[in-house]
Amino acid sequence: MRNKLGRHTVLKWGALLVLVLVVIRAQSQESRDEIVRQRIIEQRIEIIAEGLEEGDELDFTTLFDDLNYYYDRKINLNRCSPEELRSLYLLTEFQIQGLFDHIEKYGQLKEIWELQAVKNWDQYTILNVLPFVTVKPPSELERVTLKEIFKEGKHDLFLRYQDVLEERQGYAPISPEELAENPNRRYLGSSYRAYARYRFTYGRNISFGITAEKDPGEEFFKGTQKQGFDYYSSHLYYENNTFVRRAVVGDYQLQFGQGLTLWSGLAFGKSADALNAKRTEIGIRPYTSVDENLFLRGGAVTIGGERLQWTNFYSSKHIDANIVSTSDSVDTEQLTTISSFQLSGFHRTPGELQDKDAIRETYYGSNLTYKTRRGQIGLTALISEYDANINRNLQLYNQFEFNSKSNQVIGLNYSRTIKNVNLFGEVSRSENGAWATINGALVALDPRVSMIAIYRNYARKFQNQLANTFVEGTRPANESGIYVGGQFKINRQWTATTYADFFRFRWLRFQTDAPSAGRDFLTQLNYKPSRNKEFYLRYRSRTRDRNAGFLDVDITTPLPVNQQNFRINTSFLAHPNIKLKSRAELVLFQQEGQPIERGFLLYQDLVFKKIQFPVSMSLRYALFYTDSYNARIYAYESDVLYAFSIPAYFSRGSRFYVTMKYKVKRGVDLWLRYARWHYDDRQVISSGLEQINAPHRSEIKVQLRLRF
Amino acid sequence: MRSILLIIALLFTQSIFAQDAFPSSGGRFEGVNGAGVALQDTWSIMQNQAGLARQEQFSAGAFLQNRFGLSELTVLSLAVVKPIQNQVVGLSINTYGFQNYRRSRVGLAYARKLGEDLDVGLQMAFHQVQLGGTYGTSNTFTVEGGFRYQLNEEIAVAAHIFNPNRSQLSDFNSESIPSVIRTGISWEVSKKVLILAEVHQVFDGKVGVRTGLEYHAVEPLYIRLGAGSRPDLFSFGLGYAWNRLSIDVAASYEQILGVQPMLSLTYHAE
Repeated sequence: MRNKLGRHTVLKWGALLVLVLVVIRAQSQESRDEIVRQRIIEQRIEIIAEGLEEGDELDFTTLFDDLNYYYDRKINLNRCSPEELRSLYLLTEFQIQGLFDHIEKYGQLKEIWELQAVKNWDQYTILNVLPFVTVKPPSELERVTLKEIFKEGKHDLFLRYQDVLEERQGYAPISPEELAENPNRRYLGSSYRAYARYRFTYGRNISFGITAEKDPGEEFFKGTQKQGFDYYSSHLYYENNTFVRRAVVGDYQLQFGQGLTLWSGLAFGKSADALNAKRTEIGIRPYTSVDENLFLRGGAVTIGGERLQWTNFYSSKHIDANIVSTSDSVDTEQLTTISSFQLSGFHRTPGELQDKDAIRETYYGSNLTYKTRRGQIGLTALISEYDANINRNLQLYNQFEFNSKSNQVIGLNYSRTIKNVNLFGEVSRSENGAWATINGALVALDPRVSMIAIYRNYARKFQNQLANTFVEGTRPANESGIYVGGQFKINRQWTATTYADFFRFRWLRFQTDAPSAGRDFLTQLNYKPSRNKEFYLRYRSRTRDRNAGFLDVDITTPLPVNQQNFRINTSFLAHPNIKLKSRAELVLFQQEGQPIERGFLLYQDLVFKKIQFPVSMSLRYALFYTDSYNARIYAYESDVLYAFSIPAYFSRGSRFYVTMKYKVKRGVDLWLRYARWHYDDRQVISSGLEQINAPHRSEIKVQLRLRF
Repeated sequence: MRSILLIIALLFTQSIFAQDAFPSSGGRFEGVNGAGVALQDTWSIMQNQAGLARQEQFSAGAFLQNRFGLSELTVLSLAVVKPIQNQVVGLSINTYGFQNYRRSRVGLAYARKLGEDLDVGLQMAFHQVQLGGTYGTSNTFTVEGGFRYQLNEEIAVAAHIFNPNRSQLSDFNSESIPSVIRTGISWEVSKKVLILAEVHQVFDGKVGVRTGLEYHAVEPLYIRLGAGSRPDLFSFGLGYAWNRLSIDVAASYEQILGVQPMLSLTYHAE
């Protein structure tokens, strides 16, 4: 009842909002430039996101910000740093190196098309980066006053609301007696998600932001959430080419080397973009996203010159954990013991709230990096401390995982380009004496052929909570392997990428009760006959060992599990304003000795965008059929700006979504999204508190963006 | 212990390496993980005889491979190739194993051009398996043949079939020599970069893939890299080519069994 009422209210307010905005718009003039900008940036993000294999919610916020920023303030290729070019995520190390070599040899670029003559640059790359770069005579940075900063700075405000229309078990009516008996049977709050984000930026130099989020089921401005949102994040960030190069107070991320010692936030691993397996570090970044765990809270500063840079950081925040006991020790100091970390960020039930901010996690450390244009070497030290005893109930397989009060990790990373070879790597050691190393080479054999090879070896006892590096498992521990990838530009229209990864786990893993090995192959063939037509075929085969549950014996024996994916994807401009995208994907999943489990996904996308027209639209209709959850298929979905999803399609049914963007006037955008899963083979979706007693699940999203 | 290891290795190598069907030969081929169906080389005599058709001078070579550090698992190959007018003939010898288990074969190859772009070749081979003690020996013959077609300046396609008539080694359990079909391409990206890829299928078996890359880094040095499935191997190789002599070393890596080093010496007449 309560829910139904809520929905009506929402719809009513939504309709009113639309009306108001329509009126506001009446006078405004559509800017052609804005539409072109959005189209370009979204397309770039899609190129990157398409390469990723799976993951429910991804955070491309930083990337979006960067691309938006560079769209406004194009990188001057005659005066830029390798870092700036890297943060576009559109150039390879050799292309960056090639540019600097070209300038060194022939002097400043006179015009942008000179890029065609730069080694390792091709037409495709140039077109991709063109909106973000420019060629001007180099000029000195002007001094700016605080007044100018506030006058010239940009404000960006996002408000988002989303809800599921079907009633979920956690919000269903329940008798007070039953609830009193089982308080965790229902969510405390309402079923919508609310999100707000404000950010002020002055170029790349100053950034201030606040992000707030209420997850579905959490209370809002009442009960357990008197302060409003469940999650708040804020930062103040400064960057300049002075002695203090970067500084941040509040929430931030740090990325160094290959991510073996310290890397928080987004990173690319194995993907169809085979060469992207190498990490390029960013250093300090402000944090503006909603993952409630993967950031640092405190302060960080980088000082130094062009070559030698020193970063120091301190972070301390409360994190969720499952407390098992609190004991008073002799000297009256309270010592808490926890059994597990809670990473979901949900605080919807009394049980979940009990775990909220249970313990304090402190990180601090330092990084010293020496950079030249051809390479860098960096030393990172990271210390982590908890104000509780960590006593996780570890099993035989994960007995080497972190399970104490503190840890220290120290690592050395390097990257060096010699002619057409870029060598990179990192070696790292955790407090318990375990080592981990990753080493690789990127080689531009020919302007048309680039290869990458990476060798990794992570000891089973290696422990680092802030590592995010190239890995097949979930953490860089108990793994060794060789990865080789290549990118081949066969001619103007045909491109092929491929990789092979062979890996070994010398200790047991989750659901694998013996040392095991596996392999992963991917090949993709792209055909792009013209700018508006693209076609690709992708094949992936991955084999890993997993316990054979079907064997009727007491000993669990791991047997190989093979998963093959076949994908056909086309996209073309059917009309100057209409883009059609189609995909068919087949997955074959089989454990040795078991029947094949099949999955199939077919979808059609329609994207409508018209210059000078305020409404753009993206539609999908998908049909899927999978024998099991094992045979699920992931596919990237277009969403409201700054929200990304690559959901898993499984079971049998259909999926529909429509995302509409309405540009009300300059600086005011409104998004509406409706998405619906419909299942043909079941009457009940999900389980527990998320259970829906209907064969469908529909979600609405409304987002408003104001820029001024 | 050593004998157990040997038996395990033998079982593995027999099933997954199919020595008869894919005789290891030539450091160059092994450096690119055997993805050489479309290569042109003296050692094509053991991979795809059509690759011999453009040989213009006499050449001969010897190849030695050790598997996983076990001296009993040593492969020795010899190849001799001689052009006679527009045709090429060759002799190949391959032996593998030790006193109590030895597989050997001797082949006579013939290759020629058929027009500007098409080459064909074939080979007849005599096989012998010797088992120690009272088990005796078993003999048989195989035929094999293939073609190579230069599609354009950069790309060539090739295919090869080994033992299509399924020669039997023994009536017992109708033990036969495996039959294999391979097809692949070579892509000469530039004078420096050569890319190879092929698929192969053992009759009644699954499809495997082999890929390789040869990089002519500087004058006499070649660097080679390969990867493939069934068997799942990575390979690495170096080659030094002077006027008359080339030395090719290679190593391939199998996750469970380890590393196999290889070496070949090939002489080319001026």
